[in-house]
Amino acid sequence: MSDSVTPRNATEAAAALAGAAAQRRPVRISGGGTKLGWGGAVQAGALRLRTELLRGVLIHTDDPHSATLGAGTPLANAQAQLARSGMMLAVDPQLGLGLNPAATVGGVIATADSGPLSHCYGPPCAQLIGVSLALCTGKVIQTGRRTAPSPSGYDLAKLATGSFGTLGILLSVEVRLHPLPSQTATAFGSTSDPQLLGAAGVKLARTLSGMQAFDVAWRGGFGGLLAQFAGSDATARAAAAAEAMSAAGLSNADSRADDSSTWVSQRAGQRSADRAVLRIHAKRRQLGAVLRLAADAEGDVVGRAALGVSYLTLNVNRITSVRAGLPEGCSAVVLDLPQSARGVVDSWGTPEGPELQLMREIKQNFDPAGVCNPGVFVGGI
Amino acid sequence: MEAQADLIERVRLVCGIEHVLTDPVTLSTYRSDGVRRDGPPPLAVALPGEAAEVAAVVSACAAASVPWVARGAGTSRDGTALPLSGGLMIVLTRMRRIRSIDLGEDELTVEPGVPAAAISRAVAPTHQLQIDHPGTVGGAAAVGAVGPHLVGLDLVRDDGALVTLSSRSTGYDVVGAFGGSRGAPGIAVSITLRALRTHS
Repeated sequence: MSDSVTPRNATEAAAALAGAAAQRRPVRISGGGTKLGWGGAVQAGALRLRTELLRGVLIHTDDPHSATLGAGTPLANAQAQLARSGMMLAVDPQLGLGLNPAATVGGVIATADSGPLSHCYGPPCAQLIGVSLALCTGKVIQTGRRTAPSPSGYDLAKLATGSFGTLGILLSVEVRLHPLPSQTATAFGSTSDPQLLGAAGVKLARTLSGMQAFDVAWRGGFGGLLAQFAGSDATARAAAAAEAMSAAGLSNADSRADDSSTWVSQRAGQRSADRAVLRIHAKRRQLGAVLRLAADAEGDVVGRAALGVSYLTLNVNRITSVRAGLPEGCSAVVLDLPQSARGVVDSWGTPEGPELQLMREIKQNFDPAGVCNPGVFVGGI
Repeated sequence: MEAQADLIERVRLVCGIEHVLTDPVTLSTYRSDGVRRDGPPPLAVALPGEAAEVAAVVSACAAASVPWVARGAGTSRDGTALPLSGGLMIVLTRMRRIRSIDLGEDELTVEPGVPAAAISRAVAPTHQLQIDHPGTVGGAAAVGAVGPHLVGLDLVRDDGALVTLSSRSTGYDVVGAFGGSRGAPGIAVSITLRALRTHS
């Protein structure tokens, strides 16, 4: 029995999945393999289904602001190809641990991974026009402008985003494109007071407009805000934002035109090879509380200041206390874990209840054989 | 017939006698939707006033094995607002309260029967949220007319269970995927929307 399969097209992928379903053999779907440690573990003996040959970038000739991307396309390659046409996909997560930018389009969408651009452009699902998904029945569902709505009634593109491959194999996505800005500039200011930083983030999120990205960072007892502007007047707007940061109480406020390294550390802070990373969703006004929690746990934070999304890097033994101390209404998912902690820490922490029951019904609806990445998702789905 | 009569009595206890319609002439006005198609007359029309009443009515229907259809203003054009033969119609237009406005988070939470056109006025002048839909917010959410502004839902499932979902929740993005579902996952009894700031 083969351990892995690398389908060359959608038909082969759907057939491989249907074949595994007929044998009730679990399938572990993998793209660049950069996030296989996220979520729960798939049981031993799973068929590894690699998407690396499901690649391609097709900018639509009838609408240059949209494109179809093969799920196995490395996102870095897709962005490079789109950039040659002056366009970009507004999804910019860290593309892997270390220097290996292997994350694929399918992997990024399946995990709803995002980066600083989500401040302006929204989460990855907001960039999707449609998806093509192979189900365990061997059927391929396609949604988008050129196809009928999903027969399930749900908006399939949104349901598949962040599903961790538990509904089917993502084959390709139809996406919106945005013009690549001619130039960008960033304002920044810093403080050693997490409460002040949180308050400044909340205030500036309300008063500054037109930012392409607005991030917070907290490392080693010191933090700051970064506000990026795009376009021909980016430098002037960043300078004005630096003045606003200074007025909000931040120190060393300044601005400068971006170079390729300016935002690298923000994205890199979303991953860790030797510590745990929690992705926290909170209300905007809870930013100060999240930063205080991080400071108390000797953790580092990068995140989207106006969206309430924070990536907290900390030692594994601090996860329980941080989860217990989160403000009401927050959710926290463990993303990266050191190898030694995998299988020990519950990545999701979602209690049993009607919400989880609804998730299980959705799983059953799309993957009745239960073979698509079983055990990886929330509640052991 | 006895089970149906018992159901109507139970629904009257839940919603109040004046909020359960059984008069044939009145019921006939609920046989049409936004394109004036005639459906069968419903068994009765229930107008619950709050989420707990919706949950109790749905539970009662499940116990009596009576089908139901939920609707707002009835402007739907795809037949999903038409009654089912022998079924109960749950009409949400009494649930028209704006439950909270949190402009610091750019969010407001409303009941499903709030007219879609009223939302923009509720958040003006610092914010705007235009929903291009002739009916209620609940109807707009179910047909996908709210778009990315939908960030939270309380749903009554078909067994009467109440599920609270948020775009901040873990798991499948049911809130995002609800648009266009025609209410398949459940009846939206509370809807949280994100408004846009008006920068002047």
